[in-house]
Amino acid sequence: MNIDISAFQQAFFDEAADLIADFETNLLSLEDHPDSEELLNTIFRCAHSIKGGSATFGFPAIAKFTHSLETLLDQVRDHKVILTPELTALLFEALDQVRQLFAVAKGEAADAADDADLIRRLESAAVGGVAAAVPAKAKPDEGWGVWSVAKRYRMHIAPGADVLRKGADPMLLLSGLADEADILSIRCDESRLPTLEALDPETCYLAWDLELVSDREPGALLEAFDFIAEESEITIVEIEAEAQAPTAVEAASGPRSSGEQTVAVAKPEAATLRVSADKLDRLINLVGEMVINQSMLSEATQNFTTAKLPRLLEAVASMERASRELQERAMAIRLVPIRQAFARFPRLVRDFAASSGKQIELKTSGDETELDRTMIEAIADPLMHLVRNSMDHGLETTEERIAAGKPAEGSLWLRALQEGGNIIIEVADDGRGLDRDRILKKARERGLLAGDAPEPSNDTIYAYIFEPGFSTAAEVTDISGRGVGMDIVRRSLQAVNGAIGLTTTPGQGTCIRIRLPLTMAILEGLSLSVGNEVYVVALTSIVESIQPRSQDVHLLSGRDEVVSVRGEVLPLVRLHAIFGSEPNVTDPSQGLLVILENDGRKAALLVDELIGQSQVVIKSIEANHRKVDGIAGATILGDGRVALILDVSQLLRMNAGLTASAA
Amino acid sequence: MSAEESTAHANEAGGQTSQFLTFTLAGEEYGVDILKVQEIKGYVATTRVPNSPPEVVGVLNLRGTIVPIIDLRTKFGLEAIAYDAFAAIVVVVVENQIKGMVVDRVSEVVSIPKADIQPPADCGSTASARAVSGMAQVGDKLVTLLDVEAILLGQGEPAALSA
Repeated sequence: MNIDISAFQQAFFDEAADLIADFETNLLSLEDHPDSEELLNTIFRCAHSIKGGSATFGFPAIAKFTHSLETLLDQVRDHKVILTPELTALLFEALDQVRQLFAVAKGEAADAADDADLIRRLESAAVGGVAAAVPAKAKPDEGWGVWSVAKRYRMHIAPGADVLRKGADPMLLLSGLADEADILSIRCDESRLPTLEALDPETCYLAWDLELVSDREPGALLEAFDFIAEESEITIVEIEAEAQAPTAVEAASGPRSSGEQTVAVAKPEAATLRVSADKLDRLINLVGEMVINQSMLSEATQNFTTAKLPRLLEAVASMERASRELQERAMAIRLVPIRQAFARFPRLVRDFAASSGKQIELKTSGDETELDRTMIEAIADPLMHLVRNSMDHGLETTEERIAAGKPAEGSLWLRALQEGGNIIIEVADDGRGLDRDRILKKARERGLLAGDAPEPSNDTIYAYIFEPGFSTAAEVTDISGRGVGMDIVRRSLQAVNGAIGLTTTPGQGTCIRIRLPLTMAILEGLSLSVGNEVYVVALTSIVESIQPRSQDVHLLSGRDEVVSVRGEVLPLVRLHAIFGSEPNVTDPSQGLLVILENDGRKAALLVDELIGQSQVVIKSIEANHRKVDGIAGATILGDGRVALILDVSQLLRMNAGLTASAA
Repeated sequence: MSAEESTAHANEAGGQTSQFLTFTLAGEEYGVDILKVQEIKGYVATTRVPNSPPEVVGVLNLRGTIVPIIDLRTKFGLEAIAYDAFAAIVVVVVENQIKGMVVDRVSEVVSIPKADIQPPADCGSTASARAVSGMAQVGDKLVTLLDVEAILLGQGEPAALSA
């Protein structure tokens, strides 16, 4: 259609994505509860809304396809077609096609598979059902499938007086209508037009009567006018039907309720965020509170006398509370339930189980756990990978399971929970577990572990599977499961300040644990000092802080400093050496060691002192400067000074590099 | 000739003029296009950024934005001095990045007719040629006009501007 509409396309895509997800979730449930009317109705509504929306926003290919899908669903809903497993499979296939079509519409995919055959199968499924259940009386087609059924409509459009002021242009809408229908006649009703003196150029006085021919349903034609529907008088009447019973459809009865269109004003290329009205309302209430607080403060400071001191303190305290809450609430806008990331897995598991012959039950918990939206996007692919791995390599075949005395059906858990300032996501299975010896052998072969080195702890051994190149080796994936691209999984999680670890018990299963910060903008940090410089470390990467005894610090082969912490030998990293600072302390036994851990790698960081723990707002250094090695960002301390935030994973790698170059 | 006089002079000439913020560095007068300048603030201690080029003295919190501060003396290979009460940070915006430059002291804003701006003296050094956009006589002072983009976005070697 026109520029007018394209601005809303992004909102439509967002909405459609939700609808497709709903469709899928309900279709999956329908497999287990084939008799549920409610599920069927929901699925039908999803298809209907997608069709309506795509027609309005100018995606005829999607509209055409979903129309045949909708027709079939309508027949199923009316019990004219029986829901068989084959039919469900067809519906899944159709759903994938809808997804594909949307990818094309968004410009993410070049071309969708030809859907002519799929449409034919959908149509024949619909008709086949009719023939079997109700003889002969086929429902008159609504339009798309058979093009000859175009109908004549009489339409009356009287835009509200205010539509021009609201930015709508009836002219554009009418020309948009011409795209959807052939206009036979149009008559402009000028009766409301006042004399020139009384004319307000911003008021719309005109109305139109038109006759048109279209293969669309009246509802679809009206959808073009959705944006002015509320204040306007728009009716459409089918001419043939007029004689008997006028089937006037009110414009407002479009498939989308106005409440769903919360945040629709955005440029097409800008990413949009759908925020629940509830969250927004609370935020606005809070802003109101802030304004009141502000006036309390002004009042208390005006003509200030000591007598006003208690009121001033009270005002400041209340301001403090409000601003903290405002910050939390504003942050919460970016948070969405992790359900969105989990939603795709039931289908994945179903398809995998069907194709592999394994019996797998997926159990999810903590769907409501909220996570930053960017984080949800960032973990989608790694999660997919982990789940596939668990199903493919972790879980045994049914025969193997029975032989091992386990239940035939394998279990796969997806759990999300909040733990302090972190979100934990676990992907667990009750499969065969990792083969420790095999990994150890492989690690020695690949030189990750010197051939003569003592056997490291189990945790260290299992952490090897996250090493680059380790994973792709076929024999490891075959024997121990796990592995294809685990290093990629780890890297994508690190990119969002996440960490990954695992626990496994041979024969009983594996649990992969992802730890993510709650949001990317705020970090629970520990500030520490080296000389007169202050640095902040994310609490998530700190294991503990200790003051070592001098006999615990050793020099390995005369160059690598290590420290033994309760029997575990860790490399000692001198922060001042890496950063070229002037420390107050150079003797480890006089300073403090902060034990850092990142993706299974550990090290002890020597610093002068610990200052304290606080929540810090992460600011970018790169925005105005450049990426600095070992620094993840900056933050502003209470006194206005800037403190740098350490990039732990890079620090650990840098240290490894220093040691290597010293060798 | 004061700033007002030079403005008057420019108006008489009737030609196009540009405004420059001038400052001193080791006794020499330099100017930057006023349209690039966001603000001027007194020198305050910065936070050192490890693993950075020597001219980056640190970063500063400018009302919530982290801004890198570049010492022009170091950048130009001049002798370093202790910052005194006159030392100032000229905050400029180059290609949407905000950066600060430490100068000895800020002088004034002058209007210089385009016609009075001479091409930079050819000192044979490409680095200095890139940093200088022109020279202009303002009263009895010779002002070296700097190209802030070339200085702040150009990577690497000191521009060796010592006059």
